[in-house]
Amino acid sequence: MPPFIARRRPPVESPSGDVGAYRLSEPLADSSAGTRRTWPLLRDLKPCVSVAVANLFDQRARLIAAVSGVAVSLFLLLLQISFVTAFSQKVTELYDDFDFDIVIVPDSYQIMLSFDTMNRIVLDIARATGDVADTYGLNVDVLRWKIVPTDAEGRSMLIGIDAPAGFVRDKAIRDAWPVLRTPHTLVSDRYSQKGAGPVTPGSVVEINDERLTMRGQFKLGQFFYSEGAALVRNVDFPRLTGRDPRNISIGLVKLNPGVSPEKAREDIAAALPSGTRVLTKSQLEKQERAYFFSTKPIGFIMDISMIISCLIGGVIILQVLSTEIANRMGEYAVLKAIGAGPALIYGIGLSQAAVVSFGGLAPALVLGWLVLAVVQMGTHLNTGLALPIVLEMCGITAVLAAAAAAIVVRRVDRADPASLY
Amino acid sequence: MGEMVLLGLRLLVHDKRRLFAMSASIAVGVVIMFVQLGLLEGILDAQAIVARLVRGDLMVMNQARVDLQHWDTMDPYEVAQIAAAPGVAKVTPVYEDHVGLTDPDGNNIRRIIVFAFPPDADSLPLDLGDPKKVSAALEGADGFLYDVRSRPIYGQIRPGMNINIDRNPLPVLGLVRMGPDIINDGNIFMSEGEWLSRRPWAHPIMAVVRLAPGASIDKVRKAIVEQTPGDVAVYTPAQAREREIASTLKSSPIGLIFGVGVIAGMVIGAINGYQVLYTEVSDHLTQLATLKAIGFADRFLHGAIMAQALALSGTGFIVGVLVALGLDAYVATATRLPIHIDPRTAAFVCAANLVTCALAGGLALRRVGAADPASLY
Repeated sequence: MPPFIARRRPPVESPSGDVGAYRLSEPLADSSAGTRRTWPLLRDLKPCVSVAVANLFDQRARLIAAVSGVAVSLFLLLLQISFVTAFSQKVTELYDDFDFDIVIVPDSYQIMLSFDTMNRIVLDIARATGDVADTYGLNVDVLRWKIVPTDAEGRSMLIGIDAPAGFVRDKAIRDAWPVLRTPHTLVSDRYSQKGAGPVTPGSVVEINDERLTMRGQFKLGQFFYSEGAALVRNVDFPRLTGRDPRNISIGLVKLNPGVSPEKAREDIAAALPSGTRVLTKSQLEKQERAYFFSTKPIGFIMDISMIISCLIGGVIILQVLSTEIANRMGEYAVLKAIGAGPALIYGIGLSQAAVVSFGGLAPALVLGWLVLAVVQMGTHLNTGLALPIVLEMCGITAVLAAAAAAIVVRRVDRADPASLY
Repeated sequence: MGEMVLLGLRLLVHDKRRLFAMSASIAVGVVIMFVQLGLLEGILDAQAIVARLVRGDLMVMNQARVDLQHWDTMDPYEVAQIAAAPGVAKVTPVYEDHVGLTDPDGNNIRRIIVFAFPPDADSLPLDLGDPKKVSAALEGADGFLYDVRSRPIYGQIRPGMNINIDRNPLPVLGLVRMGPDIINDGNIFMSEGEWLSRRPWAHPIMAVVRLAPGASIDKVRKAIVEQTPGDVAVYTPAQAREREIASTLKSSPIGLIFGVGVIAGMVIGAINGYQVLYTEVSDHLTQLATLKAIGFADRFLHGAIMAQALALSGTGFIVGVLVALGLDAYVATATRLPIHIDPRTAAFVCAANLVTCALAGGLALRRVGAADPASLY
């Protein structure tokens, strides 16, 4: 016979309604008289948790294995949720540095790094609609620069900007503007990768046979587009990239107060010639994210990995609960025989599920916090463990525990007091 | 020895439903390992797909093209210089660039990769199907071949349709199969003449070399380097593939991400195995105690448990392979990545599963100590 809790703490019926070390919330006579409550109230929680913990700790090695399994699956899930959240923020990070309501792009636009351009005159046409307070031109291209003096080559995203006016939200980019007015100057992305070469102030690179000195830094870190990034003025951008100086990659539009973005979008789209697309800021961000998470396989891979992690966590909890209940049918029969109601019986199962799952969540969060901090340092993705993700993980863990308990716990009904004799 | 194994197996097979449930539990770790390795290999294979499809002995590229995702081109005269190198039977230039394809369903312009090359059936540089059919399609008329494994964003493209390429309508001459990678979503193929009529100043991105019969690869490689101005690198297709895989692993964290996934699969396999074997031993404690009572040593019982562990690793692996085959096929269809189970991966997962089950069996042996003959009375 396996050791069981009743052997160590024999239940003793007392006039006060105590069963062994645990006080039942209802007098035993109530349940035998047919008054059955299915769900435990808060006051029933203590005996449920006490029995659950004692039962689980009876086989410590198995408990450790189960908690470790749940921890591994929740750790994987945490990594995936954090990556998706951080990457989702990162793909629109440059746009987040600017304050605008509407964007005008070439009709071939898929993501920020599109190679088509459009005539800057579209900004003037947009202004003529009457909805627009101000406009702003952005240029984006990826090019190869030569690192001076090593002559090694690095790939970088060059971003051309207009004078900040009221558009630039990011202080580092606003501060970059006066610096960029010095000839042959660029402002580098502090989060550039090694392949882009040194990006500290004073570093020199050669673009299109022109030597430029880095005189400031901002933070971007969009490693999926290029190894590095740098800001220049839009007046310098065409000279460095060979682009037509009349053209821009992206037009940002700020609306007059009170103008609906959707109405303005329609007005501007109607005024512009073919070959352009007009999107509200939220449409743009949605499209940008959809490209990475729906068109590219990243989203699908992450989704399937998250589903697998949840299934594994759920299966392990299910397995532990199932074995626990199967091994302790005798003890459950004893509890029933002495009058314990379903509140206590089911509550024990639910508590066991909660202990195993939240017992796994704790180390998963600690390990995840460490790993995600390392990832954040290496990739500059915002993968730090934030409160919303912790709450999301708690919610998922609670659902897994409840689902596993709901599937298994009714097996306790098979515990038959008659079988004890 | 034989009796130990026989006892272990009989204990397992006497309840077939339970055996299936236990195998399914072990299979969870196997499936995770297969999926993680499948995704990793699929991504690496997709990134290096051009090297895998090359029909030739050597690939010559600009030295600055440190991986196949870089766009550094060669000077066209270098193709002629390579052709003049001793031991070279045929050299074929390959052009690669991106164009805007207007999808016929939504009328959206989507970036797509275009490959162009001389459509000579004997020297087609890429394996896109029957060379004669590919060559006949590209030689016959203006137009392009569409890669049907491209991602669905390009819409339903069928032969005979006129599709706008950079806003100019061009007929679809046929369909071929190549597949996208993580960065690029799809491919089209044109003849060199068609491409140069659109981009007259285009430079080749690589040259595919076929050796003369009996020529030594090393000697020809050396001759090509000497013949050209020294700005090209020469690889065999296998070397180019290995270089691409190494470059992808170095430049992105996918090795780490999927490596952690494989380790997690092993850990979960071991934990599940332990849980399953623990329950199995617990449920048979009375029988094990009886065996002890009639004089069987602990070593005999341990042998029976280990036999169960190894048998379960086999049944779990079989169930895992079957599930992984279905799952990989589904993921491959959804992502358009070449995800499949190759024998090397299968051997690795089989060995890892065997180790984790043996480890789980070793841990579960402690439970046999609870079988007490005195408890029978």
